[in-house]
Amino acid sequence: MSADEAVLVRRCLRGDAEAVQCLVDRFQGDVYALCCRLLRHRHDAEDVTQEVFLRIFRSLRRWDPTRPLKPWIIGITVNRCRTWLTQRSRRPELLDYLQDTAPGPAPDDSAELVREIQNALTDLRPEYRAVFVLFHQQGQPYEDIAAALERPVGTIKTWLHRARLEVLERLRRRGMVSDNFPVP
Amino acid sequence: MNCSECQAFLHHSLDGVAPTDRIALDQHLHTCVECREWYTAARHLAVGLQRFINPIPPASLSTRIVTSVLADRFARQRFRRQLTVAVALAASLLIAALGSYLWMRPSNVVPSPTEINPTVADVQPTLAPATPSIRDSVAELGAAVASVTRRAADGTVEQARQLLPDVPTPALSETSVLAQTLDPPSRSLLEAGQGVSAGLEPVTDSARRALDLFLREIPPMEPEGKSL
Repeated sequence: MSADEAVLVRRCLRGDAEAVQCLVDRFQGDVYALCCRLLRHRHDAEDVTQEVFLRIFRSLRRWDPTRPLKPWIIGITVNRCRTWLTQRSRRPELLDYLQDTAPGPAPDDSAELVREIQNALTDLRPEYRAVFVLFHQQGQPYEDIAAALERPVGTIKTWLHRARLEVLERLRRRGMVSDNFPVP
Repeated sequence: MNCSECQAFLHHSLDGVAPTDRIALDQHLHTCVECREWYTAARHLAVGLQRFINPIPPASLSTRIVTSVLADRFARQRFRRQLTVAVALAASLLIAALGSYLWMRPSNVVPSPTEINPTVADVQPTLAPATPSIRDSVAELGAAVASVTRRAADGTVEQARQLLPDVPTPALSETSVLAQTLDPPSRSLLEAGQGVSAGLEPVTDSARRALDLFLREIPPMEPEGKSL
């Protein structure tokens, strides 16, 4: 936790619009990327990102200044995405979320590999997917993930281990185990 | 190195930890087909994860978020102010109503316990005045008969007093009068009247007893309410 975060939060609580803008700019990239990867829909990700920041500013007084701000924000984001996914599962699926969030054509033949990994992530349980995304795509350490998801570190390691095994098993089943597969 | 150690190395490598015994790992992968497949899949996964493009938020998203956050804060502050005003107004009205009630209420009237908690007797309707009992009626009648009898006895005594002066006294000679020893003076008329009254007392007592026996034979009278 840096003193800079505490100062920024205090300014936000005083109603400083510039501080609000600064806090949004600092964390919106991570929040939006996490929403995109968990929801796999850009428009939903934008809506949920906006909702997440509304919740962050409403409950900013409950943030513990002795702890870092980012895991707290990530925890809110994961919870909000989970709620959104639950609500979305009750609605008829109108769009192909996978196509909507495809990262664009890869510059080489590894596009198929990226697509397979994405499909494998889609089939994971939500908590496994959240841990996998936070660790491998957001670069969060175990401790921060544990703090964000409010679970012990051992549980997070177990979930990540299982998530990896499922993804690797899918890659094996899809035949992507050959040394001839283009790997830079 | 065995298969489980190879699996542990695989996950450590995905965690970013460098292998401790690279030669042993290579030897195991050379001999174990299954572990080699896992290892190759893990390498592909690591490469594929690097190929993921980090989603870039739209340029307008930041402005939209800040605008919505500030609008939400303004709306919440306004709601809080309105709530405060409403609560203050309600409290003022309550205090005013309580004050006016205490002002208009007469202070010298202290409610009695029966006003606060009325008894059953207060709730019941007022009954008709109680009729005299048979015993009372008989006693009253007996007293009236005794009074009439006493009056008759008094009248008799009065007539006797009037007749007494008209009774002729015998003429006595002076010598005989002088010679005779005088009797003691007769009793006064008052004592005579009392004697007559005492003589008639058994008559009045008998009449009273006869009347009592007669009234005892009469069946008891039903209350007026039951006859209806």
